[in-house]
Amino acid sequence: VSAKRVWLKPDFRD
Amino acid sequence: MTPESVPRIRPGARVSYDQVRESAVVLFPEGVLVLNETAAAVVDLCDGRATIGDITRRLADDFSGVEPRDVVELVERLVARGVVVLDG
Repeated sequence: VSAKRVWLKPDFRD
Repeated sequence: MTPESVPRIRPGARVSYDQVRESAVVLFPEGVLVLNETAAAVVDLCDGRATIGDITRRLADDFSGVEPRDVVELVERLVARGVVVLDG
């Protein structure tokens, strides 16, 4: 089991 | 911006946690940015000491499949938005 989280494109709502 | 650039949160802005939305947010006089999980991880590392390259490497400790280009693009957007400044 990978302890790492899946990378999703970083984003923000302004 | 280069991999050696050092981003930091600008004076007057601060990172907080919105318990209603369960999201990290950047609060600053002109507005609010609600961050997704990976954006929050990047912003947490913008401490004025770590370079863009350092940040990307540290993210790879916690996330699989980190895209360096994504990190650069996010920091560029945060700089354009005026909540992050670059040293170096």
